Amino acid sequence: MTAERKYLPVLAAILAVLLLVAPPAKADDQDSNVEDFFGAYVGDAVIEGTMQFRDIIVSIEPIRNGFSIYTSTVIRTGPKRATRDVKWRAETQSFVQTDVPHVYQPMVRKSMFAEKRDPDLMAGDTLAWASIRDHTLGVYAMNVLEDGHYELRVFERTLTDIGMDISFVRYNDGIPVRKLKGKLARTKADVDNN
Amino acid sequence: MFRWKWIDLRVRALVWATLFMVAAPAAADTLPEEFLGKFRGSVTGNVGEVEGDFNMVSSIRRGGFTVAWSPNNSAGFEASDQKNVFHARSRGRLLEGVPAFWARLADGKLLVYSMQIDSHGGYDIYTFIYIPAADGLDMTIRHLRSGSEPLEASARLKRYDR
Repeated sequence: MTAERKYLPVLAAILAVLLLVAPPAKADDQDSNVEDFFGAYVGDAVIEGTMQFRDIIVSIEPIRNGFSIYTSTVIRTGPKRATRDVKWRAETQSFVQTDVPHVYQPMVRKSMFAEKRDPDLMAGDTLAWASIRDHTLGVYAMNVLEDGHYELRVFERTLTDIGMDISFVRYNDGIPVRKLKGKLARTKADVDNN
Repeated sequence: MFRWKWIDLRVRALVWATLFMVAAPAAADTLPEEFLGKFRGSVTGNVGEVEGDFNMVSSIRRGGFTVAWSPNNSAGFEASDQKNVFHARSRGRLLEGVPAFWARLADGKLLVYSMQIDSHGGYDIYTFIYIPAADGLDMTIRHLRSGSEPLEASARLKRYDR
């Protein structure tokens, strides 16, 4: 028996022990879970190439089988909010898990008379869904318009050290026509209450 | 006598015009001749799954047309309610990754679309734009995919069926 053969079982045993003891891959190497996004965030954003600013509050919360995203947006055209042309809108979107891992579909109110059917892009339906890829929660909405060209709206929220980066792009037949980028910080609960 | 002759001519012209309008199709239900046939060329660089040699074969079928293209795609398109817009029969289940195809004619171009949600829930959309050229078609491919910048490539496709 050669020296190499003699030590092979020992080497194999050491390797096996090392594999068992080795720590799991870093969290950074894995896709985030939806729970990682739960929380409230505040920050601002700007539409690229314009002076249109947005003050944004986002709250992501768990719901049964999924999550909801509340977004409050103050639309201003200058550094100050308290101007005559300031606008505000708020919306909540809710998504529930599909059979595909990390893919969510819009929650629809259940009706005993409604027949469950997939959205039909060609019939003018909006195809909306959400997914988690790496550390990004993406919300997507797509339409094929009457003349056959398509619109795609991509809203992505990526976890960062302080909170999340947000990005919105609207594509018209594959060409980006509107881009918004911003940074939000994860908030802490105000326990002082004063 | 002279007057009646002119009225007769006017009526005849009106009848012909009416017949022509009725006979003309309201919307194209298939492809113009210049897009039909076999075409091949080479794409410089790569756009998603499209790289190098590229083939496009199109033919008429009842109520529409079929298109097959590299590397391994094909779809049958039917005229829709909208003029110059063609739909592939929907197979649903888009969220499970089943692709959707459609096409349209605009400004002398044929645009063929394929859209798919990938296994990570991202979007993956190709637009193939074909423009008639002297010896075939000029093609531009646009690729839009989650997590990537939009890509574009082009190629001259030569007709090889004549």
